[in-house]
Amino acid sequence: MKATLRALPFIGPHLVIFAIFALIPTVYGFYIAFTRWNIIGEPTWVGFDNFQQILFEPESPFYSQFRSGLANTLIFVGIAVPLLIVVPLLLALAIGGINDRGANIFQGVFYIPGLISVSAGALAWSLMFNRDFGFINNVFGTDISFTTTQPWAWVTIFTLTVWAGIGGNLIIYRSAIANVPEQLREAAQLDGAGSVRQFFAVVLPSIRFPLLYTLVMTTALSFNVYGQPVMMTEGGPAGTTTVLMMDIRDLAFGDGPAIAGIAAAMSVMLGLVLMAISAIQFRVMFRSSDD
Amino acid sequence: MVNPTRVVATVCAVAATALVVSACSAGEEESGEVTFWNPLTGADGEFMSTLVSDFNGQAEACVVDFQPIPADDLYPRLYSVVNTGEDIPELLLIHGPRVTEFGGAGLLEPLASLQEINPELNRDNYLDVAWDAGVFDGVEYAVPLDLHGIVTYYNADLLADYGVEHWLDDGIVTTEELFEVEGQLPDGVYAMPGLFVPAVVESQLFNVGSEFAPGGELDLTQQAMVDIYSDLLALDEAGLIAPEDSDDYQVFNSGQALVFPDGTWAISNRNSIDGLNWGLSYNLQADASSPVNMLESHSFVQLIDGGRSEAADRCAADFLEYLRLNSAYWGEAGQVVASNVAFEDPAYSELPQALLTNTEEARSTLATGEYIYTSYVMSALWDNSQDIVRGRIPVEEALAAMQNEVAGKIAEAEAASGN
Amino acid sequence: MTDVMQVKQAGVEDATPQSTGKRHRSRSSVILLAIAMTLVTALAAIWIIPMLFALTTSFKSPTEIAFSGFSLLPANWVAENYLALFDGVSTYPVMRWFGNSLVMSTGHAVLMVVVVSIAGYGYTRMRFPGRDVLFFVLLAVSLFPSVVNLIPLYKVVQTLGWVNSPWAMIVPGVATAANIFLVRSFMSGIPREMDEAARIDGAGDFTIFMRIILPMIRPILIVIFLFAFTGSWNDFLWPTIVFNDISNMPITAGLQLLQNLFGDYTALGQLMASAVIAMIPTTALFLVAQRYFVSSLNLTAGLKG
Repeated sequence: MKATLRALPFIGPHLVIFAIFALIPTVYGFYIAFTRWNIIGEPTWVGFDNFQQILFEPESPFYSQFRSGLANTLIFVGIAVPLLIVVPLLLALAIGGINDRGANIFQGVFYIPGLISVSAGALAWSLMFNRDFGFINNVFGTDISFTTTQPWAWVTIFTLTVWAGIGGNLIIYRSAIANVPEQLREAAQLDGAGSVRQFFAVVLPSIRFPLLYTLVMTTALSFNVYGQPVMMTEGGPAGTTTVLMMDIRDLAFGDGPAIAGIAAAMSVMLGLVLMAISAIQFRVMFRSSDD
Repeated sequence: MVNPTRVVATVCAVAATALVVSACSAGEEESGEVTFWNPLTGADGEFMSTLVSDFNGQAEACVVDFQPIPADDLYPRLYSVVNTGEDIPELLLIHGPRVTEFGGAGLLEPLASLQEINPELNRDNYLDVAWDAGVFDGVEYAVPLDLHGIVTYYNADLLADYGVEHWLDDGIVTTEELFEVEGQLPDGVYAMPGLFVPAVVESQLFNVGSEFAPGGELDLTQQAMVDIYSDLLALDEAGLIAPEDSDDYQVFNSGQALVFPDGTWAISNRNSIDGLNWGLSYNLQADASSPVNMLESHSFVQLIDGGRSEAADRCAADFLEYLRLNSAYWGEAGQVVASNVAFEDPAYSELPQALLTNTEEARSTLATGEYIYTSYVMSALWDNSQDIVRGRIPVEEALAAMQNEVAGKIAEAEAASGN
Repeated sequence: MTDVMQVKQAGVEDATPQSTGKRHRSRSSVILLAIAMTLVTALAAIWIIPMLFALTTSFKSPTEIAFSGFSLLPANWVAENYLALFDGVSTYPVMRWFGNSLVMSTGHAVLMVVVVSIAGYGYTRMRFPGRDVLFFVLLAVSLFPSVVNLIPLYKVVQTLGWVNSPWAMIVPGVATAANIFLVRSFMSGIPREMDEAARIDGAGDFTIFMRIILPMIRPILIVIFLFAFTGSWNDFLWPTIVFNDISNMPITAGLQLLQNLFGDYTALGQLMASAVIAMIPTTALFLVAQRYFVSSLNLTAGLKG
């Protein structure tokens, strides 16, 4: 008890803010998942009805929306997360070998695209991918309609995502790698390990903490993806890039009376999947930390 | 390095000042100021902003506070405000279908209260169709600002080049007529860009005498829908619709398309292009004998709000009267103005969109979507039309999916509103 | 996408300068490095292109954009897109928006750093029952998809009287536990011997936090500042909901008002111009902050009192 009181001044302020601005709305959102609500009137309790519909009733249109939305989200997560981890990691390794000035320039080049607004970035890339006038088709002499055929539609989305997204992780990895104790590296070198062996035997284990942190955060962000598919492909062709967030948004704030209950139920399901994955990642993380 | 404590203190001071300042300027409603929320952003917004400041500049005028917000955000914000019952604006401009949605939810103040202050705000002074868009369940709730929708722009030079000027003989271009140039167009030239196919589909359905919910029952799988989509699909297969990923505006503006079903709001865009010899006609029809131009309204409404003052109501009524008398100017933004006063203005009848209101015959073609769940249907049309017309999903299959989706949403909405 | 629940990666562990670039390398690793750098440079060149594109488009006239489709360089460089932004001051108070953003984003970032650093200390250095479980719950809730939450969040903010007020932008986003997560992973790398020595000398929790821990996590706090500032700056959904008066809005939300409905393509140049303008402060902040990511901290250099 005394220990808790001692900690209170430190964790207290955040807890208060959290309780008011995160906990209450989230709990309320959870509650809405068990109701039928058009946001204008009062919610009416329907128990598990919404979940029943999206999980177990194939005739319901929300069932197919949920399934395809979730599937597309998982496709996105499955490809975007590895890209957003591996690419900046390799980049960090490479620029870690040159002087700080140069490394900072490269870091800037890869980070600054993340600062531009989603719509401007998407527009710039749409123009790059434009069938008639775009950079890609003109330079490579191809005639691909990127946003209306698969797998190119996904390619445009991943391109935009990676372009704008690797900066943050790059910063983390670069510093983490620079922080690897010199002695360990030299010892490995003396043992005759080449660069690649060094990486796997020394560097990687030393940075596992930030690595796992970025893994958890990148995964969470990717589950919430919304802007890129909306702006690049509008969820097409034939709904193959419509991620679950788009369905949720459309049900809650689209044209016509809101269907907030189903939207909330879908959010809850999405959140549960995300939390399951995060829990696994976390488990690994906490096992290798000794706080 | 900067002393963090000092930074924090400075920021807190600045923020506190900002807070105080904003709090002070918040409580002005007692003076009859009208906060006016609307979805008029960009160039449209500038027109309305001018009208508002002209009104405000009149001697002894009350103050109207022009607050634009992107349409996509206006409704989430309205939902939030309705939920809390606070900070309700004195005057709202919303789209026609929302009159039905909010009216049905009992949120709208009947027009009677404003009409008491200014009896001129009545059906006789406005375009019938526009006025009807503001009536729900027999009660008048809204004063219309304008109607807007899809019309057919044509490139006069191209029509001449390919010998199809006769399309305009009856002033109506039909899908069937477009087929006449099949095989004659060189690469890169098209009959039309396909951006607004969903709006064309809606209009054509009413054109052939049907509707989304014949007899009150939603039926998107009806034969009329199949036919309309099949014709457009054939048009695309004949290479007559510009590719899906083209820049549709650029295609028409640079003279690569004969016609373009596009919005009335694009008139200023057309005007800004040098060397484009263009004209405007009815929306693309399926059947030339009974043309229909499907439009949507911008309507002024008030939310029920016990805290609204008499002075604010008077101000709102005055502002609406001002707009009624001066909306020919609004027409320059490319809208089909709803106030009859504009039609008497010779300057207005010169505007391209006046085509839709200059004659009784033209006016009889105007319609707005009366079906309560039009929004859901249009949303489905927008989601699926390109997939259908470009041949990715068979017509009947797509229509069945749309029917299922919209019916599902309707069921939820009905249940939520306690029907 | 609302950034109120700010889930942005942030953070850095300190880097000792002596470990970059100066060590003795074998020949194979030099070759490997050369190849790698060539690839990286090529990649960087590709990375720049869309940005260049956005930049040059912002200098194209509307007619040119409508007619000429794609071209990297404008035929005529015009400033009208930028001028239009400042011209529209009567309708759209662009400079006021800029000021609003500065106040709100700075306030948010400062609050975030303060709250997160002390909370991080609490969860890392202090032991109390249920600490880890509590933390996991906080994190789980922070990462939860938040769409429908918007309405109750608005209600909470409205109850506090913060509608239309900068506080609505400054405080709510601090609720996330993501940055605490990051500070934790950094703090745990600081050896406890220092704490213990200070405690023997009679120092209390707060003194240890201020004198020992805080200076050591400075780089990461700078990064968190950067990301909090940027996240707040680029948020545009939440501000349009919570601000009734457009003159109180931050710049990214305000600039949305310049866009027409339905892809009026003549505004493409303006869209790019406004995006470029909106990017300047966050870019400047990054360039300044970048120097502090790498600090000369030596974890094993004796104990300081």
